[in-house]
This record gives sequence, structure tokens and C-alpha cells, in this order.
Amino acid sequence: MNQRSYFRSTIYIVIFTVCCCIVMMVSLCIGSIRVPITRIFDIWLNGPGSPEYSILFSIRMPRIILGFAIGGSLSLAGTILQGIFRNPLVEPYTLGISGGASLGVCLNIIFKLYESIGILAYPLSGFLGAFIVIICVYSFSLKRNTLNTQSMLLAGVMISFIASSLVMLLMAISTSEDLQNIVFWIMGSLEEPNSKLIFFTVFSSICGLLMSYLFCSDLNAFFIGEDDAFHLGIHVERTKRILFLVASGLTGFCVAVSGIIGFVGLIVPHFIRIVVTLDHRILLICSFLGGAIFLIICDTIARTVISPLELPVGVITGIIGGCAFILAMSKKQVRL
Amino acid sequence: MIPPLLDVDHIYCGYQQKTILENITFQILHSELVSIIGPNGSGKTTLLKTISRLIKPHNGTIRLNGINIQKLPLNQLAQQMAVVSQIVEPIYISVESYVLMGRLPYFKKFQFFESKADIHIAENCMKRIGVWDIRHALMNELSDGQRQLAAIARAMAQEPILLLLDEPTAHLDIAHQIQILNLIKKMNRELDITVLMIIHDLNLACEYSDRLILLKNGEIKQMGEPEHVISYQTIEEVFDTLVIVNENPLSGKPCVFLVTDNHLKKINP
Amino acid sequence: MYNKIYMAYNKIYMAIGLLLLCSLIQGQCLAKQGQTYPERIISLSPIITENIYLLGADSKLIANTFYCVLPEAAQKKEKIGTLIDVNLEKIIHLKPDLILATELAKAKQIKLLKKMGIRIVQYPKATTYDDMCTQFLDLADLIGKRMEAERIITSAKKYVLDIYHRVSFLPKKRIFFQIGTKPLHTVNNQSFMNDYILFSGGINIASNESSGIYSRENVIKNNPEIIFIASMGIASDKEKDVWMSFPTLDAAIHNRIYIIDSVSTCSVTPVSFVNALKKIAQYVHPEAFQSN
Repeated sequence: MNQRSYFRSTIYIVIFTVCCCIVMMVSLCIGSIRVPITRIFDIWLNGPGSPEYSILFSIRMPRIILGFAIGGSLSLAGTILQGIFRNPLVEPYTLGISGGASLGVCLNIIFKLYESIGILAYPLSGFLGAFIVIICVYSFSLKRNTLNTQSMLLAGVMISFIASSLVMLLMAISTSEDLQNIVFWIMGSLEEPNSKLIFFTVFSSICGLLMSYLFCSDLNAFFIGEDDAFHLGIHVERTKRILFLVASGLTGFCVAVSGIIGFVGLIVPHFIRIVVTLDHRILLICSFLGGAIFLIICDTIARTVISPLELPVGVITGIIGGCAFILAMSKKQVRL
Repeated sequence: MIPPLLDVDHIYCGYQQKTILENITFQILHSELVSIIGPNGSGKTTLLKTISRLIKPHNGTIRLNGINIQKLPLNQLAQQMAVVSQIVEPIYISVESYVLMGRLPYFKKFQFFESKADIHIAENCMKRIGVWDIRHALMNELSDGQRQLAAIARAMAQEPILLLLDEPTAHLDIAHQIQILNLIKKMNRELDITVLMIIHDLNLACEYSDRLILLKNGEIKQMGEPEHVISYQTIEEVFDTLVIVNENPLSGKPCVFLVTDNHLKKINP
Repeated sequence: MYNKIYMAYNKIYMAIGLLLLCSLIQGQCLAKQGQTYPERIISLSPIITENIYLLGADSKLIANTFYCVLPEAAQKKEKIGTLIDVNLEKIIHLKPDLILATELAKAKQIKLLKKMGIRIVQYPKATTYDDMCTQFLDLADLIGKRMEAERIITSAKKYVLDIYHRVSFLPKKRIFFQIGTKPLHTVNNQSFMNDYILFSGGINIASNESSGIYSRENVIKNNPEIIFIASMGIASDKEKDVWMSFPTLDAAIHNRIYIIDSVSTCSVTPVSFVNALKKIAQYVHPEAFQSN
């Protein structure tokens, strides 16, 4: 990469950051109650008390922040996994993580664990389910100290099927109230009353980004083949393990907090690869920001298009993501 | 006495429980160009993988400049030893970026981007190998020969003292075969880089190598200068095929001629 | 079995007695304290909306759900979502001082609203008619319509007793009450709809089931004399045909499979319960209502 490419890539990062800020501001203004941008600062200064302050800063702002963290995390996880597996169909949910989290939350709802632990039981049970699946997939694919990527994918897909079937079984024997609860959780939502949880999600997403950035050159090297990467001095096994855990951990947190929001981890990395670069030094950051922007936009659409009713955000990510991706694929060439 | 650059000491290696190579011992001195020859399945690639540390030997040690390669940190090993694989994948990456990856072993702990020196070294390598003109092309747009050149440029960017090549001429036409081997020989002579390569074509091996190592069934059958290793008896024994070995009139190196069934009929009607 | 009905009978009588007593005392207390009642109420359930209209407090109702269609005036109120999912921004913008919800409402949204300091009262599913009446009275307490509520309940319970009188000494009919298909759903004794069966002189064959899911085989085994199917569009007609196809089923043999309107039986106020009960009782023991 020469100076001109680096310059181009830095510009992209700046553009994405600016876009992110713009999208967040616009999302703050849009909703069932429209607030012009100029008034936002005034409302904030006047402090809590007015319904507008509550709407903007107690309802919309947490949603936007959570959208930033979760969109970024899912997209980052997808980028990392696609880099390790060198398979474009891999996304955070291909490895069965979403299945495990759904199963955890299902069990929580049916056995009414939230009555003893409180509302934190949802994210806890989701994360526990995701974690157990991660451990299973990891152990199944460890053959003589090597992390076999083929086995991982297979194990992930199988566990995903098993988990989905178990979830359906639980849904079939549940009462109608529990069923509704389960379905709504699975559909995914960025509404979260617990501000500590939101803060924790943001914190873990930034940590994930920093940790994975340490391995950006390694991910670039994986591109030319695992053996060749080894010959360039990369600790292939160690890197694969660490990155797998980072990606799974990020996904587990996201699913635990907001339910299942699909496609973000699959579509955004591909899109960024086509439009920006394959170089992970830029890709990781742009992917994160791209995912954040995408999810915030989708969530804004989800809560305004048939207002006052809301669509599940996963529906919007699927439709828009799929269409935008097909459009981008038919146009640009890929370049590093 | 100058210690050997590469010291392979009684190694037994293979995959999982199976041992493919038994009791392999040899040394390679500085600035030598050594070729490993042998029939299919004799363990040539296994040997190369073991030397490059992809496979751990069951027994024995391999020393590079006197240090056990298992004890060297991976990036230091990569600074001294570069490997060019048989197949260079046609990936979506420009030649320039591909060659720059050769500088990865020299990155410091939190360094993510190449320094000006790195870019300069890569530029020199590309110019020397002759891929500077196609540096913006994508690897998947190149021919096999051009990709092979790019791979060599990447290996050279690692500034190694030992270059390992696995059948560099395997998929190439005769012109490219000679081009690549001329290049490798040039690196060996001008830059003092020791070369250890696997090669199928016996004639090319004889022409370009200082020494040959002949493998069969996981053992070293013969080792030495081409004149000593290549004889019709050895070839018949190792490759199980009749040949005629003569002298190349231009270089004086041994040259292998085929003997087909038709030829046999002419000799023994 | 007779004990249970006798106890229900007794309960109703006691309730009426207590009510009259309490109302006298409470009415005095409240009048003295001059308590302020909520003026801006949002309802998150069609039943709660109907109850509010019943109590004459509809002027205080500022918004309800899309499903609140009865009475017709309720359709004109501001809409804020469904029973389960509501638009938080809209609710906050309307500045309510009381939100009435069922246990179906999303826990996260309820928590968020509570965090904003809005008063929310959630009503669990009514397990008996008595429970429904108690909830109605609680609601009335909240909005300051105690006296109207007592009047309504007293009158409703009188009707219920009247119906029960007519059928209590007639032989009990075994009844199966189907409220869903795929999977087959019925009511157990944890639902107020069980009281339809009890008060109309019947026995619910699924009374002791732990959940509402029931198998068709079990129905055939228990051989009810009457089957009620809550209307589900064309699905209920298909269900009736399915039941009629069993040659050993008592209800099929005597052609006592009835489709009843689901809205007016499942989504009821204490008053509309009585109307539904009357219809059901007439199906169960037509002989008791012939004189009318």
C-alpha cells in the first residue's frame, strides 16, 4: 500500500465517523414526535422535567447508543470470523451462538427465572446459553491442538439446528404468554431500561475493537493461506483461538442484551470490503462504524415506518441489508 | 570451520502417528544451492515442511545457524527463513500489497503499518524480480508464472538467509521454468542467499544445483554433487525406470535421457 | 363437586354482604379525605377500556390500544400500540398520570415507564369471575368510581345468582370448552372462563389440567356431552366437523356442539360476562330457560 492508498483509507475512516455522528443526531430527531435539531441543545440544557427531554434522552438516546454498540460489535464479529474462516458465509450466528442464546432465554422464560433474579435474568441466561455453545463448538473442533475451521463450521451449524429445535419444542409446550415473550425476544429489540447494561455493552464493544485491532496484520496474513501466514511469523493457532473467543464473546453479549438481530454481521463486512478495502487495518474500524450506522438507521426505520406500531429491527436489517448488498455487488470491483 | 547454515540432525518426522521420514541427517552450508529430488511420495514436501517448522519432528533437531528452530520465536525464524509454496493462491490482493506482507516479520509489537524502509525494501525486491511493472495488478489476474515471481518477491522482502522453495517450476512452461531458476540462481550468487528447493525435473536440478539430495521412501539414498548422484543405476533403483545418463555438452553437468518402450524394442528386437 | 358449587354460592353471598358494608365505610372515608384521582389515563387492554367506559370514566381516558374497539367511542381515542408492544414516545408525550396494563405488556417497556415516574398498575389474568369483579373494584378505587362499581357488581352478581339458581339442581353436564386449535386449547380451573361452565350447571372435563393444551384423544376418552368452540373464523367450522365425525362422541351423537362468539366470551367485563353466561347456560340447560 502506498501513500495514496493510506490517504484514501484514512479519508474513509473520517467519512464513516462523520456519518456515524450525523446518523445518531438525525435518529435523535426522528420518531413519533419530531424534534428539530436546533431544539435538541435547548432541551438538553433545560434538564429533565419536560416530556421532550424524557423522550430524547431516556428513550431515544439509549436506543441509539445501544444500536451503536451492538451494530458495531456484530459487524466486527462478522469481519473477524470471515477473516479466520476465509468463508464469506460465516457470520456470528453461523456458529450456533444465536441458537444457544435463544435456548438460554427460552429456558429462563419458561422456568420463570426472572422472577427470582429480576430482569437481568434475560441477558444473563442469553449469555450463558451463548457461552455454553461457544465452549462446545470450540472443544469439538480442537483436534490435536489445532483449531480446525471446517469442523467448527460444521459443529456450529449442527448445534444451531439442535438449539432451534429445542427452542421450538419449548415454544410448543409453553403457555401463550410465555410464547409471546419468547417470540418477542427472538425478534430482537434495542429497547433496554437498564443503563448499566447499556454501558457494559458499549464498553465491551470498544474492548472488542481494540483487542481485535491488535491482530489486524494477522488477519491480513490469513488471506494468503494459513501455512503461508505461519511462514511469515504469525502464531496461527493462537491468533485463531483468541479471535474466535473475541468474536463469540461480542456476539454473546449482543444477543444476550438485545435478542437476535441478524444480517448485520454478514452483510456489513462484505459491503465494506467491496466499497472500501480488504485490508483489516482499515476494515476493522470501518466495519465497526458501518455496522453501527446500519443498525441505527434500521432501528430508526423500524420505529417510525408504521408508527405508533413498531416493526422488529431484525426484519428491517434483513430487507434493507439484503437489497443494498445486491446493489453493491453488481457495481464495484474489489481492491486492496 | 564455518558451521553449516542448516543442520538437520537425525530427524524422524511425519503426520500424526505415521513416520514418513526416518533418520534424516544432512547439512547445508552458506551460499549453497541444494535441490531435493526423488519420486512421488518419498517425503520431499514433508521434509521441507519440517524444516520450515510447519510440522514438528518426532525426534531429532534442526538447527539454523546453530540455534534449534523450535526455540526461535516465530517472527525471528521468518526473518531468517522464507518459504515459497508450490501453489500461490489467486487472491484479490495487489502484487504490491502481497509483497509488502513479506515485511510482517519485522513489525514491532504495536506496529500496524509498514515503515518507509519497509516500502523501500519491497520496491527493490519487486524491481529485482521483475514484477514492479505489474505491482498494481491483482494476483488473481496474473498468470501462474507471474504469481510465482510475486511469491518469490515476497519471500525476498523477508530478507532471508535461507530460501525454501517447493517445486517452483511445477506449473510453468519451459521458458518460465528457466526464467525462475535463473532468478533463483542469481539471488543465490549475488545476494548470498542459501537455497533449498524441491524440484522434479532432474536435468534442471543438475544444471542449477551445487548439491543434490536424493530421497526414496523417507530415507536419503544419495547426497552430493550432481555428477556423483545422477547415474543410470541410481535412477533405475530409485525411480524404477530405465534412463540413459550423459553429459550436457554445454555445461558438463549430467543430463538424463528417456528410454521408452519403443526405444527398448529397437535395442532388443 | 357439589361442595365446590356450594362454596361458590356461599362466596357470592358473602361478597355481596361485605361489599355493602365496606362501601358504606369507604364512601365516608374517601369523601372526608378529598383524595385526588388520576385525570389522564391510558389503557393497554380492550377489557380495561371497556371497564372504564362501564364506570363512566371515559372522559379521563386519553389513549388506548388498536384492539380497543368496544364500545365504538373507544375507537376514536388516541392509539398507542398493542397489548404487548407500545410506543413509549407517544405515551410520554401524552403525559398520563396512570397507565393500566395487563401482565402481557413487555416487561422492559413497563420498567422504562416506571423509571420515568409514571404510575403503572398491571392486572394479572382473572382466575375466577369473583377475581374479575375484585379487579373491577380495584380499578374503580383507582379512578374514584367506587360507588358506580359496587352498583354494577351487585347487579351483575344478582343476575349470575339468578342463572345459577335455575340450573343448580339439574343434573350436571360434562362440558368441553375449546378456545384454540393447533394446538388444541381449552380452559382449566385457572381461568375465569371455567366459571361459565360452573355457573351454567356443568363440569369442565379439563378442570384439573395444568396447562390449557389438551389432546383430542383425551376429549374422546372423557366423552363430554356438550362442546363449545370459541369462534376462530373458518377454523371453528372445521373443528365442528371434526368433532361431528367421531361416532362415539356423546356431544356429536346428540348434536350438542355449539360455536360461540369468542370476543363476547373471552374478552369480557363483569357485565358482559353475564350476557355470555346466559347464552351458554341456555345451551347447557335449555329446559331451565323455557319459561322465559
